[in-house]
Amino acid sequence: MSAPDTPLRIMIVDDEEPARMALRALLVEMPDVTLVSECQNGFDAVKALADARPDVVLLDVQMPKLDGFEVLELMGPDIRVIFVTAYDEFALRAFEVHAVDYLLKPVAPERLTLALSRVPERTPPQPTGAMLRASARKPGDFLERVVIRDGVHVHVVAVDKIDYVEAQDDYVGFRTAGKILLKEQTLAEVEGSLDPRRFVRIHRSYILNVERLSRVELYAKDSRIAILGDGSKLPVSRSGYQRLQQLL
Amino acid sequence: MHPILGDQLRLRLHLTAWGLAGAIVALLIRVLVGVPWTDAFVFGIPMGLVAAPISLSAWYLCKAMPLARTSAWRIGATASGAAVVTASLWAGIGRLWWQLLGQSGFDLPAQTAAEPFALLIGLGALGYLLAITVHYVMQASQESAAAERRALESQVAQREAELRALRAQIDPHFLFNSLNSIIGLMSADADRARTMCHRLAEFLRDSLTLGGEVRIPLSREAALVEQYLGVERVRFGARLTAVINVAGDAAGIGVPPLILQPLVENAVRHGVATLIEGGEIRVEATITGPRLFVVVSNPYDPDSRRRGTGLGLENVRRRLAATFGERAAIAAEAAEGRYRVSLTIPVETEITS
Repeated sequence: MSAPDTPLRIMIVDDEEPARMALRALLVEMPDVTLVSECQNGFDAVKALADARPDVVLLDVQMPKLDGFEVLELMGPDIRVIFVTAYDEFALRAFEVHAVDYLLKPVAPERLTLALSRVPERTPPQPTGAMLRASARKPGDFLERVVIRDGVHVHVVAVDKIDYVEAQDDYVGFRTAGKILLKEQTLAEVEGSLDPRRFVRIHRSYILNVERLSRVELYAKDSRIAILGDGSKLPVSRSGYQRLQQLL
Repeated sequence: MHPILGDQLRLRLHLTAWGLAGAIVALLIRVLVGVPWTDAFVFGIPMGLVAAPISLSAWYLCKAMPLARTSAWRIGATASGAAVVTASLWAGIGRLWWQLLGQSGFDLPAQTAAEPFALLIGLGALGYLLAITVHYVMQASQESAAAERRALESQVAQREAELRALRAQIDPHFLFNSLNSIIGLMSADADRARTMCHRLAEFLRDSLTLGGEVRIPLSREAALVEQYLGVERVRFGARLTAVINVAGDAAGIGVPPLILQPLVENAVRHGVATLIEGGEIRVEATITGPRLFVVVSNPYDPDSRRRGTGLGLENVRRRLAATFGERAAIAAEAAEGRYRVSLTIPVETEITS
């Protein structure tokens, strides 16, 4: 628990007003905590994070548009999460993304106190949300959409709308609808989270949505380029070509 | 287990029948050979009783050739062959028995024409064929009893499934969320908390009471849906709105209880709850000819990750099929941002309440 002079900054994210009221009523009774923000949905939460600077987010799982796990993915690594939900079915996943705790509604005061006491005073370095999210996926269970934060905006992109993914230094760029959206992640993480029957690593720096592929042309000896339906050209490495052939 | 050896009554009947057969043998011997009554019976009755265990072998023959799966000529040939062989064996025993009795001082002529023994073979064969027939009859009755038991078991299983389904129709998460709302409202808005408690109690009481009925009027089901939505409206606030339209002539039509409730629950959970702005749930019931049409529709977010498992819909489908068979139908479609479930229910009973 934080020292008395620096109360724990808490944010509540839940789309149901009475549920927010229930948590608020509990927090009011507790010492050394301060409620810095209340949000009705994931979009608002992601927007409010910068100003509110919470230490801990009490996060509902089932919310419209962005669910709790997606909000967690878009948060910085220094914010801890306690999931609060009526459903016990997400507990394992919450544990895998290193949530501090997983509380079932209705939440008993002692249970919330215990959860908050588990928030370490100083946050240890921890993997980014995206990495955690990738590790939380079951084998054979692939991403259906990608959430990307762009300033205060959040893009939710269905994977079939992605043309290709390219590596750009510390970022990956998702090319969709003529734009490139950048996200702090590695290409290997993205590759691991996408369905290998639909996405192929054709090059060290590129993952291609095979539905976008128009043809592959020989460019030089052992060097090929993939030509997409819209005319874009991407390099194809020798091993990338083998992977592509295996799939097709 | 042998159907005769395994049943006391049948065993007694079997022995009596063969005892009677022995008496017939005695009678024939008396008439044909002219031996005294006593001697004829001393020969005949044991002959009948010795045939009793022999005839039990017919069961194995029947088991080897089930009536339904064996051709008639094969059964005929095998049965006749077995009958002749068994009867010859039996007649042979008879001959020895005849001689033994003759030597032991009974008035049975040692030198008797072959005809009585040919008659024994004929009688024995006839008796054996009769035994086969009786065994086939027993086999058939055993099979039909087993079929009846299977049918009964499947009926019981279906009943259990229905009960389970009924219990599953009220989602426990609905209760947890409702209790959580009450707790939330308690300190800040005690009046709303109280209202919510009353609505929840009414809904639970009515759904338990109505759940035990066979049919309830559609208007009653619609009222239950209204109560449910009243509870959910406390949770979702202005995000949840609903319009329930039951045509005047549809109100009294009998429907299975809680048939719409799971559909409306889905409309909240997988529809309105997935939208930031929420939306309107519509329930519309009309009658066309001999059919009642009910449509439950809701807006939904096509990108939502919160897909239903289809369990609620499947439960409703199964219950409709169990109640009305082919005459009821359920269809679901998504178009223009709305998800629509349509029920077709035959108009059978009108309930006035």
